[in-house]
Amino acid sequence: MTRGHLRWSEILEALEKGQRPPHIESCSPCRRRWEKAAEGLKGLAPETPEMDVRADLLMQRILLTTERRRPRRLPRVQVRWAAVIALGTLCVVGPLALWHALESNKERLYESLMTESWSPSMAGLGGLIPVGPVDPLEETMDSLDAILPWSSEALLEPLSLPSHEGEEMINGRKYHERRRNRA
Amino acid sequence: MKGPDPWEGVVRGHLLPLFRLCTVILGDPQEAEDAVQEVFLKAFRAQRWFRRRSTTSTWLTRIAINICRDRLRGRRRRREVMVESLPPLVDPNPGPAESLASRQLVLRAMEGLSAREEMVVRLRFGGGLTARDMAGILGCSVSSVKTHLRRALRKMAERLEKEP
Repeated sequence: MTRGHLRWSEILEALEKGQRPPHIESCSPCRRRWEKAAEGLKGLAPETPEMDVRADLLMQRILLTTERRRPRRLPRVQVRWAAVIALGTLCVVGPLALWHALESNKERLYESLMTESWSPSMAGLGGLIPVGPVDPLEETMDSLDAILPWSSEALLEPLSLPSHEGEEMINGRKYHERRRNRA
Repeated sequence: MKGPDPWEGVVRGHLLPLFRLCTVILGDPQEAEDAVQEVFLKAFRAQRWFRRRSTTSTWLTRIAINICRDRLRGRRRRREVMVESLPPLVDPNPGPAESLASRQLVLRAMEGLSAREEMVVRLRFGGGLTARDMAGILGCSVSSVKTHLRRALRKMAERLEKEP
């Protein structure tokens, strides 16, 4: 580009601002460039005379496509009734089934409660409740033996105090006796 | 009794402006039709997540802009991959020979632009929108739009300088 002519950047900038540089009136190469650029940029605006018709057809297409993809829904009233019926059925049938189960197994249940001992699995306490008949005292002693460091038999023996403690007690008793006698 | 379908109302109310916008950005009414259909399908699928923080119009415009940007990128990728086998640029608005040459000159100059820059140029010259309008549509600041436009014009000018 020779000096003095407009550069493409100047032409585009002027077109963007909507200006018409005075130079193009006197310079034919620059005017040709200017007209070319203006024509080309104007061509970016799409010519769609039938846009409304196209839009109508497009709308039908879109509505049809979305209608096919729309999830089929039950009317709200039906959904409500279905919920009421399901809940009602659950409330009536549940207790009835429980009552029926208890009623049919009544004998067995009673028998097991009254005659058989509770097993850990029945109690659900994992061994805290003993199985079978046991002597409560024996069981307590066994438990203590397991826990305490000394024998449980020692607990049952009469208390024997160390000798100096016994002397103190005896001396104390004697002192009190002497005081009482003096008084 | 069944009331009017709200979805149909949304489509009726927004289709034409979106169609115009997509046509301006893509420069091809045929492709714009596909883009608009894609916009409404996406909106239809996502409508339950639409929180109404913005208007329906803004929401749909955002979807349209994203779809158009993706299509412009795809177009550019295809052009890069098959640059040898590509036919000459197809002008959707053929006219007199001189006018065609001018359009092709501008389209060739626009080949080096990014998708966003191309959108800005098309909205400015094809849609006649101001920087403020473009900022509203593209969801960015006015200064950002101006920067993109300036950069795009500079790139186009560089390409045009190399033209014989």
